[in-house]
Amino acid sequence: MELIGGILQARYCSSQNENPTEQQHEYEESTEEFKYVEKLLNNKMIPTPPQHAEYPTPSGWYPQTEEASKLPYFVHRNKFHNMPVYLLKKGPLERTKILKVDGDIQLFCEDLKNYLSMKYPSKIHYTHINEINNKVLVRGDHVGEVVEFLKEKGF
Amino acid sequence: MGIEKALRLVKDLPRVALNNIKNSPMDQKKPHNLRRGWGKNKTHGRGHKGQGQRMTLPKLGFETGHKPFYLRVPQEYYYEGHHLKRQYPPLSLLRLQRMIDMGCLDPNEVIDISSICMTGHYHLHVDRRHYGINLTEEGAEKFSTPICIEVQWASEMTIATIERLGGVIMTRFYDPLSLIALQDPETYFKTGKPIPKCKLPPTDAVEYYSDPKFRGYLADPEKIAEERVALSQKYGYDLPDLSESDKLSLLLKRKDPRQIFFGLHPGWIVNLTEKKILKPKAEYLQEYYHS
Repeated sequence: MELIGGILQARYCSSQNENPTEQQHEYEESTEEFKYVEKLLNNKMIPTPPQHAEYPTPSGWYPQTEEASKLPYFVHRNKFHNMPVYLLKKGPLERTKILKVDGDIQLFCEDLKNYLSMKYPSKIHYTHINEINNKVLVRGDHVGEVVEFLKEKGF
Repeated sequence: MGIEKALRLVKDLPRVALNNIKNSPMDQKKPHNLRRGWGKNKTHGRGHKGQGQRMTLPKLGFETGHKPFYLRVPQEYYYEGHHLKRQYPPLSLLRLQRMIDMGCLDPNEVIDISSICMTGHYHLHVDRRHYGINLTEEGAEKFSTPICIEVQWASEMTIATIERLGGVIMTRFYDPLSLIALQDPETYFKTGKPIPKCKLPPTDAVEYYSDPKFRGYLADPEKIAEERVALSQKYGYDLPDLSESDKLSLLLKRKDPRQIFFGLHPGWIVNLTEKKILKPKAEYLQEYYHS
């Protein structure tokens, strides 16, 4: 086995690493195809939604209207241009959270409660106002109804 | 190169016999340690008294009498091999339409796995055996843009909705190393590694990707055209003539089976700071990347 091992070493040693040629490290540079790379780079900012012919869009999105700015209160959209209405769920506890409410929050809550009472007349709708952070909490899971209410107002 | 070397060896070396075989060094059995050396006298490494010294320790897994863990927890055979299975996290047609409406995706360009991941609304984790996008039927009635899209898994209904509107859908396989580059191209280019060559699908996936019914990239294009007609008849819609559409050049765009990015070939290294691409000239590399 040793003799055969010696023959192996002489005839079958790997020659690539022993004699590296310059040809293996050659490369050529080009800038022509870099335009394809630019398409693959990340967007740094969230894109603004394009103008559509009619609203709502096929997936159900609609932008804010100008009528909304005339009201005594205003609800901004979030950075993804969506409604700032979220559901807080901690076991059986459910709260509908509405963020970014400017202006007269008390009046906003009264209008919201009237709207919800029309849909659910037998229930009392409790709301909690956070005036410092412009937040409103509504007791119960009413995310769909709140979004419809905001849509009616034009937010 | 290596194959020729191996064949020469097989031809020249003598026949395998008992006089030229040896066990691997890992095979050597260690002799039983009698613990009689220096420092091993008196208790012989067993401590003082008790079960440890007297060879009366309980069996492995014993928990002092109550039912032990290995008997308490039942075996669940349906989990067997779950850590090795391919996963295709879903993306609904509704979500896709929303991305197009909000301007995250451009319907005038081919929608690729990298363009969907770059929107930030869809995430792929390659280390969790995610192998690509599964385009689901949720929102099929609301979907209304003709697009050219390339996914990894699609059902019949999704293919029908996209083709009814004059779009094109293809299913295409990417191996995990290619997916690492695809799901975040910018960070991959910053590593300085060359663009990988995409491997062919494993044996249990070859059937799906060569099936014209699922518009696989390995399928015969003529058969795909036949299946388009058959699907339109099955679902009852008029198949639009794509040769008349404005976006014909877009709808005909295809990648090579070994190619990952449009316009970029495997083996190239991208230099983002100097905005250059480095292409290797060595023959062995050209051979490997073009195979």
